[in-house]
Amino acid sequence: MITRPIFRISRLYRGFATHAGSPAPIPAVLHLKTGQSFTGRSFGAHRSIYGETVFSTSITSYTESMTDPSYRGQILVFTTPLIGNYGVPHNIAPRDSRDVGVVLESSGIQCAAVVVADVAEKFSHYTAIESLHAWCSRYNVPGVTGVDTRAITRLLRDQGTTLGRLAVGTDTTLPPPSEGEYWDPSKENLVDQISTKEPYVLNPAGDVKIAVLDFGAKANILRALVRRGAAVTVLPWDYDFNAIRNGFDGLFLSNGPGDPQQCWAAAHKLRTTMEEWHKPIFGICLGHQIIGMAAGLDAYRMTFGNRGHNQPVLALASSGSIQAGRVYVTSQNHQYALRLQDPFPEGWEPFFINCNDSSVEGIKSTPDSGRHVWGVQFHPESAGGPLDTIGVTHLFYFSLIWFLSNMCV
Amino acid sequence: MVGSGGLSIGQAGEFDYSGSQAMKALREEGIDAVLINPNIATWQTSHQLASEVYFLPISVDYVAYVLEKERPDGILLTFGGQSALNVGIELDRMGVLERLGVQVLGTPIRTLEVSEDRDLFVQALKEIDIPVAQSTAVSSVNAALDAADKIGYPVIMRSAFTLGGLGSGFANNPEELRDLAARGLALSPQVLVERSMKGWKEVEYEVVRDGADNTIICCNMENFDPLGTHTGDSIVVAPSQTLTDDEYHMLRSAALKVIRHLGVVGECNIQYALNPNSREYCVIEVNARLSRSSALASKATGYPLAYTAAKLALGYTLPELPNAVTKTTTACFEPSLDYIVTKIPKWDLAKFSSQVNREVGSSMKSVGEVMAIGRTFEESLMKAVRMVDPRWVGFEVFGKRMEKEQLDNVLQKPTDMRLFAIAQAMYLEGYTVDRIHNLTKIDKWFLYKLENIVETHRSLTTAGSVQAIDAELMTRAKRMGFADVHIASLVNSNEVAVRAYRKSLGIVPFVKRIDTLAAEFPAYTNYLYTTYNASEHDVEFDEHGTMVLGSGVYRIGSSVEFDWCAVTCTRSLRDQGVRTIMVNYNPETVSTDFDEADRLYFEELGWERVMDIFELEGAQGIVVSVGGQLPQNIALRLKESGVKVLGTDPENIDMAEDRHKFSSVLDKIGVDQPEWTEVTSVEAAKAFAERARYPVLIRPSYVLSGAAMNVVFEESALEYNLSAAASVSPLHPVVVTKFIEGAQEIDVDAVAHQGRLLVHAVSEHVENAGVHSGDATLVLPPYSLPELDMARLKEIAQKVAAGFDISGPFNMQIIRKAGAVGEKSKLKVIECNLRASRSFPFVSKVLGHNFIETAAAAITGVNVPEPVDVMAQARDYTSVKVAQFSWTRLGGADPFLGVEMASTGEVASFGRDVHEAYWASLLSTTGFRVPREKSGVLIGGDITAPEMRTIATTLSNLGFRLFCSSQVIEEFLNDLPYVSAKRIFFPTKDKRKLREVFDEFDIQCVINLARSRGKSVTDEDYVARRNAVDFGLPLLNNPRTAQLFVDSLAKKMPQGGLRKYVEGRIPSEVKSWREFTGVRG
Repeated sequence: MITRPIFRISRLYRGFATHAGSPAPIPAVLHLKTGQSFTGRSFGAHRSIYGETVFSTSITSYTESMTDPSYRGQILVFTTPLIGNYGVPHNIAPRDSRDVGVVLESSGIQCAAVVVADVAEKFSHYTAIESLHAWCSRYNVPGVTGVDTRAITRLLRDQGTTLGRLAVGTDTTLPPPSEGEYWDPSKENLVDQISTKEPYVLNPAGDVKIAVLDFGAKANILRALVRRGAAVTVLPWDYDFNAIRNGFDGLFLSNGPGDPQQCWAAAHKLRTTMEEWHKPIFGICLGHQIIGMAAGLDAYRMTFGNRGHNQPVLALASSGSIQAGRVYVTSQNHQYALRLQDPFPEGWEPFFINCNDSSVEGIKSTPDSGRHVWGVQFHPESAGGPLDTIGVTHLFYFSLIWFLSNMCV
Repeated sequence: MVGSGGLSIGQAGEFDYSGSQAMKALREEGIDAVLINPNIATWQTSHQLASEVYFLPISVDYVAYVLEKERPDGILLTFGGQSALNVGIELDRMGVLERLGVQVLGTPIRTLEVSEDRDLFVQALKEIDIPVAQSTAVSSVNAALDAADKIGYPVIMRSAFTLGGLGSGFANNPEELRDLAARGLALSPQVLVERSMKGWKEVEYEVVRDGADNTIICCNMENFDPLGTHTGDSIVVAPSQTLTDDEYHMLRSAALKVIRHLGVVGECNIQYALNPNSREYCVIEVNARLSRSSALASKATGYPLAYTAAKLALGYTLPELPNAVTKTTTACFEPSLDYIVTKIPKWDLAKFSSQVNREVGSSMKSVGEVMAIGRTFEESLMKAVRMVDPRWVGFEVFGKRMEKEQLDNVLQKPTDMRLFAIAQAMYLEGYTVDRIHNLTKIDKWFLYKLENIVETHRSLTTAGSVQAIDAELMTRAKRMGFADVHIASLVNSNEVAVRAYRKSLGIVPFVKRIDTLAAEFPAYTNYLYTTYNASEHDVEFDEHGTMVLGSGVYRIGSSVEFDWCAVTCTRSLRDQGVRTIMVNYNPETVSTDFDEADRLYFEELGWERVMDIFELEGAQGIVVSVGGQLPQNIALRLKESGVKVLGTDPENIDMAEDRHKFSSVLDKIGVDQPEWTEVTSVEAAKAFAERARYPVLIRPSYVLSGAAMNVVFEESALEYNLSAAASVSPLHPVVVTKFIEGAQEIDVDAVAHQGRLLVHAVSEHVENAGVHSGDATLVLPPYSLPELDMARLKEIAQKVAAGFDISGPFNMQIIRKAGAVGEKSKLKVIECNLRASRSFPFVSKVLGHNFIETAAAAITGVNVPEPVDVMAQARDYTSVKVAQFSWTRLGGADPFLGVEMASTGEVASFGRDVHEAYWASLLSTTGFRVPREKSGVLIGGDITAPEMRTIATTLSNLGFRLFCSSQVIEEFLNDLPYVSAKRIFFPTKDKRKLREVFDEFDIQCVINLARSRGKSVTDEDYVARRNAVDFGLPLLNNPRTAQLFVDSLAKKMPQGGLRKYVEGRIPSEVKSWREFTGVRG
């Protein structure tokens, strides 16, 4: 019933959907701190910006990626050359047991800028209400098109994620910034900037009560929990969960941007939680790194990270529907990872590793540890990306149910 | 390993690619492969891959014989298309596999059965709640209405047993369906009612699964043409472009679920219909085998699907296999593409008579396809358009401007020219994208991109001259894939001037790698393409290799045989230590496997791109003589542009192709040729024909496969045909040649070095001259040529080699008219091409001497062997090459053999003598069904052919019952001693009735000797020939082959030739290549 008026609104928007015409031929230059520059045409907001330049190899999902809070502060290079083809949908959804208020991964564009080879000036999709250009303009996010994204990717692959500046319009005539002028988002606590300031509850009528520490949660994580009927309490990232933990059946640590070292406050609190509270805990991406840090593992900065939808991970342990020895194709977006160490801290075991670069893709508490903790580096909830590992979120959810039913006995 | 047989529409070169990769995988594992495939022109039947090759029919009987003889441990059924799959299922049903202990490797038989049987398939998908396209068969109007109620309107109704879509249509409500069903049921006893998904998007996924249940998607593809056009006849892009992440992964997840449920081990393909206005979708079909789409996906991504599928069939798991491109990462991943590929089908419908329906729909009609790689859709599309036909410069209006009504019609009901109808609508009629979308249902995104091309075209036209094009516009045009020659045509300039000016602006293409993972990890692949949407090269140009130009798209007259030549040449050059650069753009080939050459450019074969690559690579030289006519056409221009063309001098190539120059050389070296003249007017042609006496052969210069060639017997026909032929190529005048009736035709394939003949082969045509050599039946060694003529033919080859100073391969067609007693026969050269020909793989494999290896040595001048006369050697075997036709796919076309080539492929088999070899090779043509003993034969056509008597008598003696449709034939046949024939009622307009008549008289074979094409669709001879192919019956339409066929029948019947496979009996033709030739197979 609730969906009906929303549907009408989006229909209305669609009626007004315009193609905004060709972006004005305003020059834009991507400068990298390492000295290289790439010239193209500006689209979206015609303003210059600093950021950390990263690339994603996902073929679809520019809308999901750009609204993913993990891309906060980053200049996002798409290796897929044709971007904007299906436009941008109306990004408002109901907040009910099926949805969490947005269609995409958050309410606005999170990345600092986008770099594409060939932006679609005109789009075509039944859900689209505006072009990528118009959307970027509305959110004051600049973009550049007509550049050799493969050349940039090759650079980033070899020299690692690099600070950059997208200079637009008259700024393109200025010399590139000096080294000291580049802004480094990893020096900042990005998590603190985007985490919710106040706790809030989604689907309060839900039957299981889950707390989510919000490091910059993607909407689809919350959506996945709500759609399974959970009452979800979203907490600021550094909230003292231990003070309220008895009211919850499980704890979820979300994804988020930046360096996990900025989040030691959360890791320390989690260590206490894990020692004293034996209900299921699950972490994705940054949340997984924090679990690892709390468990005694090191987090380190990778050269260029893993961003894409085609990352193969090998399951080292069986759990739920996940079978040891099987390879799953996963969606990923991270710059930092947990260091593989031998032996693993007591009570912990590796869950998944990356088939290409052997980085740690998941950890879990051992069966005999008495704990029920899992962390995965990839995004089992997808959006965008493959749904192969959606089973690990089921795993968390089913263990909650199992826990509840056992408690009742 | 079961191959796919002769190339035909719907089952073409892609299976040479998949079979070859599979056998490469087997070889790596040290497994001895036994291959059954009568397609002698393929790479997979080369000696490098299989340990035993059988050139025998892909039929249940013959595969069973081979299994019985070879007793292999396992069998691979999913690399030989539908033919191999069907044979496998049947062998399993017969219990042959189990009895012989042959294990089916890869996808199990049960899975193949489920994917093939519509009912089982629908049931299987229901079990896992995956929606599937359903059709209900009904035989009454009320049942149709009930079915539609359940399915929901709109529905599509199709008549089950009518061809060409007769009685089909869409119904939006019960009233419309009532009308439609009434009409349909009048034509056919049963109609199918299906949900209409007209205008839905058509999307495909290529799925790989191993025995341990690891499952990945290699690639997805989206059709430019919405549902309704066969995917083989659709323009296709990879990856999908208009699907959101949600849609992409919804279909991806469904694909994994389906393929796991069905239990595929290896590779398979799943096709979807997706509603463009909701998340609704349904599965159209699953191909649980390698397919045309998987070949395309392999080339589009660099992921070697067939190779991987073979390894998985042997029990490997995906994570155990390395990524063949990167070598360092795993095969268990999903490729990410940082480019877009566009595939466009190649139709050759104009090659057939005007009776062929040009509409494309649910049944495939194209004979080949091209794939183009770019970093914008416009760039890849423009490249692809030029690849399909070099006369097309890009997305432009071609052909006659259509009336609006016709235009709208073509936009709504696609024909082979729909893309150009869109061009007309955009360029000339001012149709908006919305209007075109409403007519075509093509997603607007594609149309917006086409509009970009139109806008750039207009900007260029406005600029007016080359110098007026600024750097920005030039960059835009090149980034959208405009060719220099295209730009030149818009600003009244020429290609060379545009190229020079563009370079002066610093606008040049860049070379990028295809590496399967969008540059995420370093990959030193040699799989390359060029693009203007870039600012740096991926590779260094320090190898200075030798370029080999491939054959381009498969079409009538140029097919897999040239791929064999190109691959063989490249391998020979590599063996010489020469670094090689392959250029080709055909996704169905082995030459475009990235490990065949040191570098592979998946690129255009026009002058502009070949020059780009030559200049960038600093190549040593270019080989133009192993890719058929296409590379040959630019040879002289390349030389004039300063390129070192290897082998025969392009000036001499030109001499052989220019009729005047050719003729004067022949006169000079004392080689005979038929009387001829070159005319520019009809009057001059008439004068010549009267002097030389009819019949005469008319043709334009520079032809391949006989386009616009015709034999004319009288003045009125000359007049008519000349206007048609002259319009083919106005730049080239028409050549008129005296046509010698009743003459024999001979093919000579040879190799020379600096004018000295190194090796030659003489094949004899069974048909008389007048049947295109590509359609003719070739016998090697010849069975009727006297020794003296063999020697004279060699002498001619020596003279021609010297006369044109040939270094490399060449081919001649020579006609022979026996002289009076005591006189020498007349040998006249009618055609000469200074390049490899269609029959090179045939003669190489039959004679056990690789002509292309010799040619490669002659071309480079390295290790040139001493001359050898392989024809002098006595052989106790014969091989016969037979053309493979695709008449059934070309609704309406008259199955007639003439100077215009019509076949789509070829097969060849061996035997102790010409009869055994012909028997095996005729049975090897796809779809050939041996008539049962004592069944009926319908006889008709040209009774003046002397063979008619012996054919009828022999058939009658063998116990066949003869039928005919006309009184004249009836009288003729009954006048023959001991022959009796019955005239039957012969409805020419009602196919259903005709079918009943055929059934009633048990007619299982049609012999209809055609002298010319049927004049009308009710011509009895036309109806007999056409329905023979429509009913899947053997048709013999030439007197000489019909005679050979009945003679072979007479020999094979006593040996049990018409009997089915039984345990323990193996016919004498079931011998491997090695057993016949004595050379290691």
